[in-house]
Amino acid sequence: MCPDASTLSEYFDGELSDDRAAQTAEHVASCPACRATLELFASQRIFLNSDAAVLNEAPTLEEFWDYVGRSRVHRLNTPRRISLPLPLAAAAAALFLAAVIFNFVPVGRSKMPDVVLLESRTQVPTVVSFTITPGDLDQFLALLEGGDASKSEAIHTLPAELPLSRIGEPQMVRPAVLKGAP
Amino acid sequence: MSDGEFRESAFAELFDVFYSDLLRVAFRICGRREVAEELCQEAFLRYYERRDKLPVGEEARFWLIRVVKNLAFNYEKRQGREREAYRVYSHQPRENAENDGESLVLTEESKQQVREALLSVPYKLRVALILKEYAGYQYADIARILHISENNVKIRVFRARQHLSNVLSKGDIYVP
Repeated sequence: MCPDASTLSEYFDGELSDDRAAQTAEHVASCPACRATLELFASQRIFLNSDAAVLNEAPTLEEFWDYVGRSRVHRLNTPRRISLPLPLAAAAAALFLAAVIFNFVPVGRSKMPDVVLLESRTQVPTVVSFTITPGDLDQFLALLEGGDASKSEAIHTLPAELPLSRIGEPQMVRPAVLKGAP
Repeated sequence: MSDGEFRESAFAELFDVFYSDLLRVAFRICGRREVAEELCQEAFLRYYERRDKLPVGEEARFWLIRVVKNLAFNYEKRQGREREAYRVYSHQPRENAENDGESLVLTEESKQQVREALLSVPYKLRVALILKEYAGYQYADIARILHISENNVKIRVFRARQHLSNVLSKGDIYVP
């Protein structure tokens, strides 16, 4: 049975262990197909090395330091720039301008009715005082929800005609003060 | 000899012995001489700047190849589109070719064919093949340079050969 081509590649590179190399050599001697594969690898090696004369000359260390001097001067004299393609830069500028206008110019706000912000921090918080057994989470939650533990969730309906602000994030805050906590 | 003098001396020796080898490896990875020179000079400069903390001897060579390989990869990403344009241009008939010396033309054509064949191989496979075929490293050394397993080196070298075989057999690159 023929070894796979990757094993032949390994064999060609002299990377197989002695035992496997001997087995492969024995097989290749009697297998024209595997010999052809190895000849292909060999022809590639010859082809790749046909440019052996390339870049035979190398700079001296003095020439290297000369380059280093020039390149450092070049780096120091070349300011770092952030460049953007013109259409992208124009689009970014337009977007920035639009954001500024939207945030600081009161477009249409004068027509709005009186705004009610759902900001409970401006109101006097309700102080709920209670005693809780450590570890009784259900009781604690029930107290926070108004004493009805049977409801898994609570729905609060707001008046339909209530004008709400479209700016900002509404918040409903129910502060609780825990007394006697360690 | 102080440690500083030893490091200076080691750097000079490394430069003399290894610069031309590194330049050839870099050239075969990126395909352009001026770029290969830039990469090698940058790699040696970085080595010199950190020579107190970097290894010497063979490990220093591995370190330099690794730096060149990484720099070449950045160059590869930048030049992806330009390469296609260059390939098309390089296939255009050259008016002055017949006026050059015949041997010079053959040499240049040979370099061109090898360069095109190598550049047609995907980057990761190409680097492994170049370190094997040109630098002559064993799989274990290539694995240390590229920070991959030996088995991975074996696979990359083999796949590079497969790829090269496909390119050459399709006649995309004419081999006389």
